[in-house]
Amino acid sequence: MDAFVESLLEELNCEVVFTIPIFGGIPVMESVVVTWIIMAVLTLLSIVLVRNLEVENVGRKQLMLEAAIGGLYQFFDGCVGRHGRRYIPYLITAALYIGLANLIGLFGFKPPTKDLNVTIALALISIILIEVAGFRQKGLKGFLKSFAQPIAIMLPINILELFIRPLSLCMRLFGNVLGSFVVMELIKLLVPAVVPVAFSLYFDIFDGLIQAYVFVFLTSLFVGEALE
Amino acid sequence: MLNINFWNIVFTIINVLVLYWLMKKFLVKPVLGIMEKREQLIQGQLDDAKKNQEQALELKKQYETRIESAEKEAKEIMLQAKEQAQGEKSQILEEAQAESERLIERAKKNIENQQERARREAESQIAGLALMAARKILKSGETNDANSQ
Repeated sequence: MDAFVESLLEELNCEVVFTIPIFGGIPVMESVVVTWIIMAVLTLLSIVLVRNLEVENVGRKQLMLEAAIGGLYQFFDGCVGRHGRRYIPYLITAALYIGLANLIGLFGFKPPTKDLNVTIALALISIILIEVAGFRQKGLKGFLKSFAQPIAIMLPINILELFIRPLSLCMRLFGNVLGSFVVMELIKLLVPAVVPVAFSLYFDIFDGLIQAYVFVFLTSLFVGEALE
Repeated sequence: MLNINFWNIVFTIINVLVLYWLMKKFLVKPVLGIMEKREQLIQGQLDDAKKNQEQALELKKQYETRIESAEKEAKEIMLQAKEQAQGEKSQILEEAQAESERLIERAKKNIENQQERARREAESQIAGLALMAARKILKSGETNDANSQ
């Protein structure tokens, strides 16, 4: 049992892969390296898939690609509205990144989203995107006024939301991925064969995709709300 | 796991922003661009089809009016032809009437002439016969007289 706990803790810990020897050593964590891998995979896949796109005589591959990207675009378009179209590429990127990050555990890497720092970073980008979108849409006056909406007494709650939103986004993603990871490790300890497959379908694939969906969905909803 | 590392966060933010740029450049823009291009193509074709249909309708209208006028003209021509034919018919009939009348007249005259001639002939014959008969009577009278004497 002790050995298991140790190995689990080791799995849970994000290792420092290497250290950049400036400013007294900048540690580069495993999650960052895996993110690089994800970036490389996504970029290469995009380049390969986007090559030879045709306007007419569409192939099966292009049809699937268009259905995926077009579907994501339509989905986000419905959430952020007409004024938020320029933020859709970021939302698509976030969806692809978080989705692949949650699934990459299947390929033997540690999911980056299991590292709190990654989800903090994502949540920070999200809240900055939300507030910047509101600021650009309404201007300084309207932006400041929006904190007193719908009535002035909501001011403290609206200010609190500035911190609650990214915190909940970050913790939800992190907790779900970590939790499913721990549960999967426990199941693998109890029954090493066959049974984990069924649970892996749920915890790794379904939960991972759902969490990616929830994260970008909430971000896009907040952006849409800020643009109103 | 739970240790928050400033550099890690910074790296991740940079990574995500770089990934955003990469995805936008290599995935979203080309795919959406091609979809938009297709949409434009389809819209253009639809517009073309609409224009063609409108043109066709206009042509149809034109042809219909043309056909109508042609029908009218044909009717007129036929009417004219009928009138003309009617006129010619009556003219021919008149001519025939006149011709037949002339013929009848001539025939009548002929007959009259012939009658006259026949009458004259008969008259002359009758006169001859009467003369002969008279001569005969005279002759027989002479003989009778001679006999009775």
